[in-house]
Amino acid sequence: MRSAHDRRGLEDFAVRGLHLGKMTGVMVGTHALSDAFLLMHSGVGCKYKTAAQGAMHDLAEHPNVREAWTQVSEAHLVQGCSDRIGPFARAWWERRESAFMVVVSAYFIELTGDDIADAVREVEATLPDCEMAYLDTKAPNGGFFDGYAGVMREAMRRMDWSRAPTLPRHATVIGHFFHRYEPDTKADVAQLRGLIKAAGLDTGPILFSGGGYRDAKAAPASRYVLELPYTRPHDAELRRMVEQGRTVVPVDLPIGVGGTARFVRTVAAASGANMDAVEAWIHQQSEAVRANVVRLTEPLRSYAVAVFADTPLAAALVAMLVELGVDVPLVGLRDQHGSLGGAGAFWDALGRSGIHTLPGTIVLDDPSLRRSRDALLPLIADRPLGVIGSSHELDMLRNLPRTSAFLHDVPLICTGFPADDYHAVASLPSFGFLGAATWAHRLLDAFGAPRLGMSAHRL
Amino acid sequence: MQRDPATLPAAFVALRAEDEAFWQDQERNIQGALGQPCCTLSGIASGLLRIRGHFAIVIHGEDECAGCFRHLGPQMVNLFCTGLTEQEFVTGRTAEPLRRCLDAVCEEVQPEGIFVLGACPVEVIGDTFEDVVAEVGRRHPSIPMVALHTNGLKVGTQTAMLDWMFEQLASLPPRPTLAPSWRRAVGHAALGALDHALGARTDAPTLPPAPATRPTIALLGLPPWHPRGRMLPEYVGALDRAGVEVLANFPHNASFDDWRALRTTDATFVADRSLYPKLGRVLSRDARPFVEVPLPVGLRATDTFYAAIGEAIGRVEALEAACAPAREGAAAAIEGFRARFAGVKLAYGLRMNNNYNADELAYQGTGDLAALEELGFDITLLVQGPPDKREKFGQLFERRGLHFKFDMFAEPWILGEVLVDGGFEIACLADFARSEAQRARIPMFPVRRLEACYDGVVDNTILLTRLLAPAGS
Repeated sequence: MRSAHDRRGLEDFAVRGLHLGKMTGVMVGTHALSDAFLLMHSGVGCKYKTAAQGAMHDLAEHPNVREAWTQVSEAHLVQGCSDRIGPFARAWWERRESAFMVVVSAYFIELTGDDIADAVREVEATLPDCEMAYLDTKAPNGGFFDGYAGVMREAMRRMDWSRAPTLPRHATVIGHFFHRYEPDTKADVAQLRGLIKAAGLDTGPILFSGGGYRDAKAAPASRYVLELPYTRPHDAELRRMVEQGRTVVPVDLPIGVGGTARFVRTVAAASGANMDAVEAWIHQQSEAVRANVVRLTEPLRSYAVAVFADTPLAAALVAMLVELGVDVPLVGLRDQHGSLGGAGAFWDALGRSGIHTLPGTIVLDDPSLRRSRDALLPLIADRPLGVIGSSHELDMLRNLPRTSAFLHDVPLICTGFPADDYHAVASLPSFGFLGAATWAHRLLDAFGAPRLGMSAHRL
Repeated sequence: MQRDPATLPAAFVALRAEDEAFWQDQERNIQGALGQPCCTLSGIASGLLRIRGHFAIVIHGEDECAGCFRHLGPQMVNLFCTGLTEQEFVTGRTAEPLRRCLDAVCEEVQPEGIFVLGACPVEVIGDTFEDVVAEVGRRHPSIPMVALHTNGLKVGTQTAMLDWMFEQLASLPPRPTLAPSWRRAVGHAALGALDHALGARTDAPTLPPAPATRPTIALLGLPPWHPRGRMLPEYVGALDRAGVEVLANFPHNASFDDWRALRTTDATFVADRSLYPKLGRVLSRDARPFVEVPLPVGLRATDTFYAAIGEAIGRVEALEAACAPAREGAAAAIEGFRARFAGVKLAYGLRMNNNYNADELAYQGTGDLAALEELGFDITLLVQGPPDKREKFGQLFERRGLHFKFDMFAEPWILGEVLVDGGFEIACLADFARSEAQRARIPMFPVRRLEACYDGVVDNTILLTRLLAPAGS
């Protein structure tokens, strides 16, 4: 009996919208800790799996300022190369004095059978005030989000969760996807804090949020652990780690008015907050946003938007678009190998928003860029359509042969990773009630901006 | 800010001292080259992805290795990966996934060519995947297939990688293409017909007659062209007026069809010919001239560029006449700029970038220096590398005839201080160092931001004037 892997066809071999590997995810996770350092035990090509993939995504803080590689080449492989980690780790620690050093190895080095984990443990003992973690990249793995969650797991393993929490009204957050230091992602962190406060709790460390590893180590003191969806590749282990003496509260992304309200209600209910006060706050906030959003986005109801995003983000965005009355004919779930749950998790999350069916909507699980293109083209030809996606999907659309797209004017809205085409100068969150307004603003801007395209829409 | 070494634990200091032998060995590998090392998989995949055309790229390796280049470019929809697993590597069962992948691509995509690029683990296990490529190629004889043992194990140079890639592209079965000026004329006529159909113009355009056969040249390694309100690159217009077709500026705006037509051109003009010995050999097989030209950035370099082309194709006077108005504008712009800014201290970063761009690699990244010197800047080279290798780099500059002041800096994040200490007023650095220029509170433009040819001189003086004297200052 041949396995599914052995029966692969063209679509299985075609590169996906997020075909970035575990090493890239490890880079983003390490980048999200401001005092961490990434040491790639690798050859020269692996350098491009890390900083180069994030260089145009984060214009506020270039990832390469906190990473290095051990410069392994063929000759070193023959001799055994784990002893290269020590000199590099020590030299870079002296320069950066990082609190946490993540070593990630390239698979071709792992193939030689070197005990890299042991070498890292030995090196760790030589560094003052620095903890080290090691992640491998052998295939198959969960790709990008596996790497991101892997860094979170390693950081959390080094925290003392066996201690009883000392802060009964604090919530720490795990599973937040912090991918750049621009004002939009910082604004999302501020929104999380604000929403948790509205639910009656104070916020402990948010893993990750651009803060330091040393500060993150205070996480176990919190009585509540809010679990956002990006823990998923390692969620069972993380839950086991934290649950003793703490309440773990799984939450969806607080996107859109409904999604934000649900987030606050879920946290408030779990922490025994005064629900009347919480509902009053939600009512006040949501009405303030709705007043503008509903009035101004009414013209969007005649349009459709295709969404390409990782599963939790896609579910949240689709729920928000439905809330705005925008049709969603196509969804592409970008988490490779279903590392964030794929279609099952997508429908579960939508179900929690009260959406159980989307008549006519095509949901593609981890589609290749080819398949995304093939699914989009008839839709573009059929009706006014916008596309929300990462720079990968948007670049694919921009590169369509002119015979396909020339006559169609497709508003493109960039989000996810990488988002090289969208940078925030002001604190414009995607989370919270303010985030709902930001999304409405971005949609209006994309559809309504004056353009010279032959079929440019008028709202 | 590094802490006082005296405060470091003694055991750590002792280990660092022991590491010194390791670092001495490492530094022996630095041969004073001005470029950064490169992975051939990353470089060639990046290059192929930018080429428009109906061909496919297959990465033979694990999924991780399909992430060693940015996923942008027209070929992303024709990029495939065999996605090998640990089990396949350790058992050596790597042929079947490649065979399945290639067969699927041939049958369903039906490309005009396939490039199969190996990854490091494939090299480590000694996979002779070219045998599988040849076997599948025999079943699909109409599809040229190229198997390349790319990887990052042998640390090579970016220029060697580019030369290898260009050699492979130029070695594909040649296929002549329509004259570029005819293609443009057809495009204009088609747009006109569309406007006519939409009622935007009253007269129906007619297709101009096909042009008589004219000499066709290719350019290689020139800076990319940015329209800036112009319909064509200056050199295309000037050469057209002088009766010469330009196939493309390789690799920046060359399509797959252009690459296949390269060996049908009358001559190729290349910025820094020394970088491309393999490509030169391919072109010389067909007795095609492979002629050196400078990077045409700045007035004097552009003069030399057009003169070299004019002499090689016997059209010196026609080209001079075609370029005369643009040259006058460039000379005036330089004069005006020098009157305001001569003597301004400029820092020019070297050894900072690794982006596989032929124009950045030409002349080891120093191709813009003549243009900046011509504008009157007081130039200092800032070289990223170990400060104790200063002497080595000094010798390198001497060999290249570069007489500029220079300084070394070890890490990009100390550049801000270097710029302040040096009293620089403007910097040309790798784009990722923008925050360092901001820390030093001086304007910065990225390496190879300067535009080419006489029109480019004018654009460059406008850009630099805006940077040095913003409106209202």
